[in-house]
Amino acid sequence: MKTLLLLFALLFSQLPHGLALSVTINQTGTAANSCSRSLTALVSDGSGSYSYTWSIVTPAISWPGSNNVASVSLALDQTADVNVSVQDLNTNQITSATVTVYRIVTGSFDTFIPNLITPNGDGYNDTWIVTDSGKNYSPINAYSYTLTITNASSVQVFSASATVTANHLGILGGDINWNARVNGTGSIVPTGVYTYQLTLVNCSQSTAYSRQLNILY
Amino acid sequence: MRILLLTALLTGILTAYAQVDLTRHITLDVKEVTLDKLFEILETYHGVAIAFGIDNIPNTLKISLSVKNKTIFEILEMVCTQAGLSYDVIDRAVVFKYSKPNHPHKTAKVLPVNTDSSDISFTVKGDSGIDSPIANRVDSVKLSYKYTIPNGAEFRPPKRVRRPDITNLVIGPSLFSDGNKRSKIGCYGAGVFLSYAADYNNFHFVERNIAFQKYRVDWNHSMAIGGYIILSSRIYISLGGAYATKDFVLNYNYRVLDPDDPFPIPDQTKVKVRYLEIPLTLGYGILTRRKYSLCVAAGFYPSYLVEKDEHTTYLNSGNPSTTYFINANRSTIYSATLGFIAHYSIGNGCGIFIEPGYIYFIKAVNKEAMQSNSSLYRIKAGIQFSLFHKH
Repeated sequence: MKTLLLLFALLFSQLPHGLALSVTINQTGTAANSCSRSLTALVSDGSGSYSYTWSIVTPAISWPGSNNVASVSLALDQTADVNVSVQDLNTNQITSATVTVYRIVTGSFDTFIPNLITPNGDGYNDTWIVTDSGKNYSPINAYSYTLTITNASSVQVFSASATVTANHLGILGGDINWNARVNGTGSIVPTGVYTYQLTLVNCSQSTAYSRQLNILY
Repeated sequence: MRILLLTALLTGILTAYAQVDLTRHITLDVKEVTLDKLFEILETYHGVAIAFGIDNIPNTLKISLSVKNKTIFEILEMVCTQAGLSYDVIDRAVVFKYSKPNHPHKTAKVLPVNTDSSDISFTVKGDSGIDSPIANRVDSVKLSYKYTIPNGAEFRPPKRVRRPDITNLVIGPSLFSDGNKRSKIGCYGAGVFLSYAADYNNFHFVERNIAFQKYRVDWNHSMAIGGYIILSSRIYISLGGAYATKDFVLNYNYRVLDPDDPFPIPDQTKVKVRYLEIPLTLGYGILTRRKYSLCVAAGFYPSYLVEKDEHTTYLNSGNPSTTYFINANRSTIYSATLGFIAHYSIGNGCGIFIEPGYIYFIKAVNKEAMQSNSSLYRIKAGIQFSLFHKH
């Protein structure tokens, strides 16, 4: 009985002094079509008065923008590990947290756009596909596109558009494609010279390509 | 009075030095003797004291003389002329120097001399003709001899025998005989030429339906051979035959994801077109000199198709042949040309020339690929051989 009482007393006596300062980083704007990512340092179990020191751990670049604030915005062209170090100004306790912040989709587009397809069903060059320059079906560095394809008489035979929000990678090679069918579902278009108008968008530019596509079979 | 005294004084001085009378007529007959031997003979048998100082006597120069009743002056003159020597009278010495063929000789005014060559025949045997034997060896021949002047006569060195002018035989003139002479139209010269030309084509190609397909033309070439006639002091006309290339290429510039596609995907079509040109050129000399000349030239070149070929290469393993362009080459094309001809004579009736020009085609070379109004810049270089040349 005495032991139990003693244990309980010990337990209760520890509680008010056992909670340590901690911080977590909340990130918003993580989608591909977001051109700025926001980080907020959420501190708990502190006195309420803190100093914040943000830094970029990798790669070794200096912190852009203002420091010693609870919320920051980043628009980096390369993915980085971001660290915040929080010091409680009353208790002098220090804590930190790190989070990965992905690059925003910016810079030049990385594309390989064929100008000849042979939609004869042999499995080679049957579909018009926009991919990256290495033909790896990797991101093309755009998050949004619009496409229209017209024939030699300027009649539209296909159109499509999309904006990627699900992930931070943006449009991948292969996402923009056309199966050489009228509106995508009809019959295969006749041979000839077609024109595509393709607009790609990212955080730094928007480029409209108007080029010829030759269809043979 | 004073003049008389002066003349007497001069005569006295001259007489004091007199030893032999070189205006004396002698008869001489020697065969194959060297110069020093000849002088020795003159000294021994005819009393002519000749002192000479030379760097070298050309031992190989042999002289044969068969002379009747000529003055010693004349004999010495002939020997030295044929041996390529000239002389100047300096004070009392007659200084002989080696004379270069195309320099005018320095002559003092001479006594009239009987140059009736029927009495004299001699040959000068040397290494290889007149110029070379002495050229390398003798710098100057100094012959000093003492002579007497008959009273009252004025001293005058002997007349120089005029040498034949051999310059025109050794170095051929430039294309035109003598640019400064005005001459009538006639045949002043003719010859043949051989040339090679490089052409920078300025073909005007049609626009392709597929914009990324592009024509390209590289340098084309031609080789020509022909003849020319010089019609006057400034007019030149030539006619020849040339084999010329007018090739071009079409690049398809297709980009595909799968080069393994069995469907043949063309990469490039090379069109080979060869013409026989008949260049007729008229040149007018605007600058004519002995060794070089510059003409403006205009010409008319009809061309006849002699060879055509088309070959397409593929991105993948396809190899079918194509005939898009091959039958669209014009079988006859006419062109006009304008340019310059710069000619330089290199000797022996031979010359080299450079002829840059601009050639304009009246119609397109290939109807499928080209529009009209194609042209090219040609630079031709060649060699010309003169068959005859009227001076």
